[in-house]
Amino acid sequence: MNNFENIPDQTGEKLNFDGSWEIKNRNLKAAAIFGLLGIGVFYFYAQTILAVIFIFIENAFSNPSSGTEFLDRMQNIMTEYKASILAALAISQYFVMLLPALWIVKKWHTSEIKKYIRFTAIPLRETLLAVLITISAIPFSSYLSDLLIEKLNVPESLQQMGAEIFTAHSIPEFIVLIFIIAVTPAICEETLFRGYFQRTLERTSGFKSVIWTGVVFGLFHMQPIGLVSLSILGLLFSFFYYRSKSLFPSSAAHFTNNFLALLFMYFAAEEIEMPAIIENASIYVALTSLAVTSVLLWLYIKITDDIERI
Amino acid sequence: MFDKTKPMLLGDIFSNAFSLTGKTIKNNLLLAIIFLVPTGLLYAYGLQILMNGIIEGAKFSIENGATNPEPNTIISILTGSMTYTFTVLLFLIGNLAAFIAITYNSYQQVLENTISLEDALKTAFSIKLGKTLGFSILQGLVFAGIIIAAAVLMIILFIGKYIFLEILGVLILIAAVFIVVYMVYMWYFGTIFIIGENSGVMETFGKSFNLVRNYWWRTFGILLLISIIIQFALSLILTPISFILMWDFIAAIFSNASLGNSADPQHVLNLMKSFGFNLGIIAVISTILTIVIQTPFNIVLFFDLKIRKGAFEGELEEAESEAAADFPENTGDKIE
Repeated sequence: MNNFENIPDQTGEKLNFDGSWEIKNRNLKAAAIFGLLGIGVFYFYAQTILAVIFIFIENAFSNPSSGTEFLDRMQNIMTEYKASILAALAISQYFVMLLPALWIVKKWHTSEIKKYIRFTAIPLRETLLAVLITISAIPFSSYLSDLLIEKLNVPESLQQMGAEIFTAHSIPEFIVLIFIIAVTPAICEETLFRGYFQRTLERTSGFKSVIWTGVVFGLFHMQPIGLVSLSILGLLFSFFYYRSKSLFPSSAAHFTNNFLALLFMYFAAEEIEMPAIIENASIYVALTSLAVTSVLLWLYIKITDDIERI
Repeated sequence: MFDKTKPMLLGDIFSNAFSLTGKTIKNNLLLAIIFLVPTGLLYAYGLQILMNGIIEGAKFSIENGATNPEPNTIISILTGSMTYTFTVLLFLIGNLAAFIAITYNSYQQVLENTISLEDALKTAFSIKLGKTLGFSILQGLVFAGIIIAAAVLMIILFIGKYIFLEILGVLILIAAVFIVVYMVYMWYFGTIFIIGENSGVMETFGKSFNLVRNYWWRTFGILLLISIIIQFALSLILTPISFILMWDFIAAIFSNASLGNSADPQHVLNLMKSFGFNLGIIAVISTILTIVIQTPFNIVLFFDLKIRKGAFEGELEEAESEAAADFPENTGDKIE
């Protein structure tokens, strides 16, 4: 038996599979992969086109400044056209990621969309524990990112350029960023990656879907420097989804991670001192974080044992 | 392998291509590695030699502020270019051989004929290599001829410097491009006819044309969609691989960026010495993945068009008569 073979659903789901892909008994792994890649392609193109259109419109009403150095000029662009870039990001996430994912579920698999993507209520303790695990893993993943940045000698200006778009300089701006950078991916990216891709793969691959989804989540962000930490986060979110059989823990965890990143950048911009454990995570802190995360994960496995959900 | 009595929808094509990829991945990957890794390494080496020649020239100019390169530098660049060209040719031949072997393996898999790796390797070096090469060269000559003819016509029309004639010239060139694109897809399956059905070179043009006729837009749309999706998938996979291979170079670029205007270009040039080889490796990995993933799609699309053209009508009639035998007409008797 090869990994591409059309294996029937192994999970014994009690859903009415009335979608075209199911009726025609097509390969479920193919559905997961092509669904994700198809949406991914259109998402990246749409985001780029929207960003260009919005920047063009904004540029028509403003006088862009320029720096002498290339990095200065890039940073100026990111600062001055921040609204356009963020607007393009938000619109493309809802209209080119979330809606197509839901459409594919309905068209290809089942009209019971909420049940399929597992938009189901679960005990609050699982969601809270998922949030706690994510928080405990932050020092470890920060340490890995910082290690890579240090080895590569990434200049401070380049780091700031990338961070500028996610840095709020006022409370209202911070609230807007929470919606676009924390809430939106928690809904849209989780629906696509966990609700559709992992859910569909899981039907024939079981636990392996957690590994695949986690790694693909990391790759999709197209950030080589952040690949390892993004993949670790992706694996965590996938694991929560797999164990709880619900979208809520992974969405809450995703929101938490992004919210905290925004918060730390806001503190940095306002020159508010952050705990040393976050700002300069040493290897001891990283290892402690890893140990705490492992214990909490073990606890998560215990509380999600014997769950018979769809 | 799949139902040859019913035309496929887009979802069927994806599903069947995925399944075909699964059945052939092991052998196809081996075939790709056998043909493309040795020739690819030579290509990477050739690219490195070329880069070295260019780098030496650049270094000389920076050191001496010279605008006219030294004879040694020119010889170095020329030698590098010749070596590179030779290794490109070798890589292209390796590419062709891999394509033939993989196409043959996938084609036979659809017909449910099990073939060994040895058979596929022998096919790559059979008369089919010559035929496929001949077909590709003829195709290239036709396309080049159309574009060159249109370009010449455009130049002639530009001589008069009448705006109307200049616009006409540009339109002729644009029309020529569209004609070439049209013909690319009409002849797209020519190589599959040669490799799978052992067709002759000249008759292949007609066979592929007839196969795609009336389905041009469908073929174009599906192939475009497939290639966009495959390239996107490859970019996801290759981004971290490229990053790892170019690690030293990227670190040097970042270091120089930190130094601003006081950066040392010689340092970057020195690091570029390994640039060519690593770029070549990335190209080889990309080629291997593309050929292994794209070929099953081409084969499935080929068979879908054949089904639509009634190539398997005999099988359809057989299936229908079998179905009729299983369920005879109701004569009014009660069925217990």
